[in-house]
Amino acid sequence: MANNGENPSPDVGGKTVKLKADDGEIFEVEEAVAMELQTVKSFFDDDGVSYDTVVPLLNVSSTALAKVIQYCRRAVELRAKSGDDEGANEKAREEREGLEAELVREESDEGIKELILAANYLNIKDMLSFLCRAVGDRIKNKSVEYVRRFFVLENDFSPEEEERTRNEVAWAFEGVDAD
Amino acid sequence: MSDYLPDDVVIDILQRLPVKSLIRFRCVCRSWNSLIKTSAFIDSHLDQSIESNDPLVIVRYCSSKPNVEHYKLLHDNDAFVECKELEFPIESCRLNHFRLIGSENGLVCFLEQERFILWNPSIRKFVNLPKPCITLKTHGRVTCNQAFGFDPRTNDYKVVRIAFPHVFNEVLKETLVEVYSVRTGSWRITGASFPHSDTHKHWFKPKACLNGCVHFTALAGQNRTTRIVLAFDLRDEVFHEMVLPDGMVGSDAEIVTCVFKGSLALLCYDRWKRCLIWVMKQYGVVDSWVKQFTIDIAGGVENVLGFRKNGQIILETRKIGYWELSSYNPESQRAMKLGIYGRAHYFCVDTYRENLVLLNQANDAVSRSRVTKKRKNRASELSGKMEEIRRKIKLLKEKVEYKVRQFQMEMDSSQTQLGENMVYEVRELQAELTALEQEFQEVQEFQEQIHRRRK
Repeated sequence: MANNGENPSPDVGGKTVKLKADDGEIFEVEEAVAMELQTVKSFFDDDGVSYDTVVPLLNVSSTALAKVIQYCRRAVELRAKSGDDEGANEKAREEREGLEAELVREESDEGIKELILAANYLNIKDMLSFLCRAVGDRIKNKSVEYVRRFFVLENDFSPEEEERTRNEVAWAFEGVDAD
Repeated sequence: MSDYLPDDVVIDILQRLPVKSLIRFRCVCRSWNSLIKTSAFIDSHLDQSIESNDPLVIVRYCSSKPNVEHYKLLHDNDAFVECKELEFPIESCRLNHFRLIGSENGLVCFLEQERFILWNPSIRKFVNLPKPCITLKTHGRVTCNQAFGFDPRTNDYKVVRIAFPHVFNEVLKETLVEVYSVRTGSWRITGASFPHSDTHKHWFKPKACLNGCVHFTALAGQNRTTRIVLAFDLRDEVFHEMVLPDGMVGSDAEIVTCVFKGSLALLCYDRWKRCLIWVMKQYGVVDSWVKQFTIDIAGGVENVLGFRKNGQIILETRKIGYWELSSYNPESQRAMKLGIYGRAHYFCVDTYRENLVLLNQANDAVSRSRVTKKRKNRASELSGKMEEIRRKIKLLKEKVEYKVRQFQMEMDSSQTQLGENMVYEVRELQAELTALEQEFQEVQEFQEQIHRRRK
């Protein structure tokens, strides 16, 4: 049973859940972590579905799923740490932001898009939120051409239309990163 | 939207972008261009912008000779340093600066005579509003109090105008209230009535906008000596009276409404040269008014302009020959100069945020009014009249400056309470000056209309 090296913590006596990526690879995760993925949660909320059932995640690659699981595991740990203590909450928040930054820092544009698709399909709100924010930061100073490539979009303006709009808002084109 | 990511994800990403990026990305493709201009996107982008961690403050300061308006954005944190300077794109009035009557969510409203303008510095766009329903020509001579506000229930920005008929007005006998809505793009006279009178002071200062209401002050009661606050609900277009506790505000105090940390506040400038800042801790509860600060303004403080996020108060103070802004810490009672100088009474300070509003509006919503043909002589007659008025204004200005210098000298030398007569005289002269300027404007506008018609 392949597991990408992330075993469930030994002292967790609770149930585990098996998730299957698009290439057939199976990941075994603690129930608490698996429930972070709303899609998985609703899979089990249906009547009569036993926890032994392997959840097929046909739209998620194993690379992406591994990273998602790693993130959710840490997120669950951090949430357990925070409580009523202001200081502990602050520390947990900082650690969490560090975790998010680390996740996106090394990712290529393609990698980030894959993670977004995974987080969207698996319905993990917090993860999707910070990934969108990360993409926003990445593209905000980029050129129009860069953005078209990133989102795989066709330029359907006529040359005259595009020129007209560019002239109207020339100020918005100042200080843009070179491609 | 994108052949790769789902539409709602793309929209989520776009909503987090700064305005400058979004304006540029209008060129990416047609669907993005349309999306960015929809009301729904503009509204939800603003919500995201509000949650951002970099609150900003916009500061206006004006210089004269020549008349120039300056705008700066500052980071509203402890450092309070400049974020950037904004370029003011509107041709300024010939005789005076625009009156800034309010700003909401980064949208600024100006007034010059009967001309209203909305400016959104984030997208570098301004819109001339159409002429109001109530004008000199339609309703005779009126004097107006006005306010600019935002109603979060309808996501609409509105200009409210209360027109008081002049005592010799033959046409209009009662006070009318008209409202302009950015959503509909038009003015409408409402059914609201304003049953009280007003002191005619501080009419050009921004009014507090809170909970979808703009807050005016008025004089009520049989003797018109009881101060009240009138909240005009921007959605329902009715006034709600907010009675003030007995003795809270003297009938001769000058009061201005504003917002302090999300609560309604009153700035009361009393006869003992203090500014008392009252805060209504619970909106609508008469007993919840608390005296939050007392500021001694005898030492040259002209106006309280606004509040910083860290609780400090921005003051406009008078020096010899100029006015400047400073940040006052009410706990330590120390003020720090901000290095911003300008003309008295034209400073404005307000919270600011990036906003896409007005992006989907045409630039000019002014309708051309018809002008009857006049004879050629009329043009030269008008020029002659304008020259005469110009001369009168020049003389009057010199008179005002002389009086101001006189009373400044008096104040500096004796350090005693300012001569009330002096203050009164100066006020009278300034009122005369304003009336003359108004007349000048009207004649000039009329002349321009004729020229345009001729073309």
